[in-house]
Amino acid sequence: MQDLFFEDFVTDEVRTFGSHKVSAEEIISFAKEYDPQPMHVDEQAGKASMLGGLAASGWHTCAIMMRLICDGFLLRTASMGSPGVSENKWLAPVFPNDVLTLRRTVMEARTSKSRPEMGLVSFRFELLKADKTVALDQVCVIMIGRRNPGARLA
Amino acid sequence: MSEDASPAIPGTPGGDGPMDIGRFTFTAAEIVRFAQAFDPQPFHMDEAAARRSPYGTLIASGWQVVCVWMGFFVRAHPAARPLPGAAAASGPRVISPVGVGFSVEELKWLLPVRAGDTLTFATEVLEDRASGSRPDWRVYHRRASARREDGAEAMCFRLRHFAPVGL
Repeated sequence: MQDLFFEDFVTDEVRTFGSHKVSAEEIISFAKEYDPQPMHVDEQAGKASMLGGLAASGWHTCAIMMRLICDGFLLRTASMGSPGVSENKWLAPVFPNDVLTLRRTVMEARTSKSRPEMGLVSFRFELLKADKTVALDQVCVIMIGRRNPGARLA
Repeated sequence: MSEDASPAIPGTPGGDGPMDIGRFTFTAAEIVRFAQAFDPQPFHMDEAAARRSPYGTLIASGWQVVCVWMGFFVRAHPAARPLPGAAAASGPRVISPVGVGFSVEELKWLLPVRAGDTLTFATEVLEDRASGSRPDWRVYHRRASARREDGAEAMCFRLRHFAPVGL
């Protein structure tokens, strides 16, 4: 059921969504397929590495964040996909048993002259640990369908 | 991939330009498997739902395209081993050949990747410099990309990462 449209995203609004407890098994499973470096697949190698312990691949944290975005609001939203991510910073490693939440800030919402059926919403997405440390900071644009396509916003 | 492969960081400057690191066909099953775990939007999950979407057909999550690039990038390097000699005393004992990423800039999903599309993945070093804090490591600014069989670029980004020298 898609009941959120472009008009529902208000600039400067900040909300948090969901939570995900990270397991060693999922860190290793993801890394074996997509990022098989020692500190992502082996506890001892993780301890001896710069990260100080078995740590999730940065791309895994991006994927976990995408899932929190989906479950938090995007599956209810008339999403039309994303043209991309302007910046993505890995600020702190993510370890087993970290509990991650999503903080969403609406940075800008603009309509499209060429595609009146949608608008472009720029979000800052942050992945927060339980102690509010930001592990991942990302700025992403999502194309979102308009409730009344072609209507003029005030 | 041989563990005796060239020790150079793939795509290192030296006139080579972009270097291909792998090819991958995005089957419907692979697209849905990734989407179920990380990005269950209807146009990544279900052909019938995708037909009603702006894309008209099942497409891969953009994050799947990025993750497949990383899988090829890591496997293009020699396997990790301990740093030799004196460096081992001051640095981490187990190092990864790719190192640690700081950030991504200008990640662009330029074209939808549809079921059956085969992408070729590539990398190129834009700039590298000595690390200020760790003498045996360098900071790399690199371009990553994936192109379709018709040559059109479907995805690109720039990556800043920190990696050991002379593995």
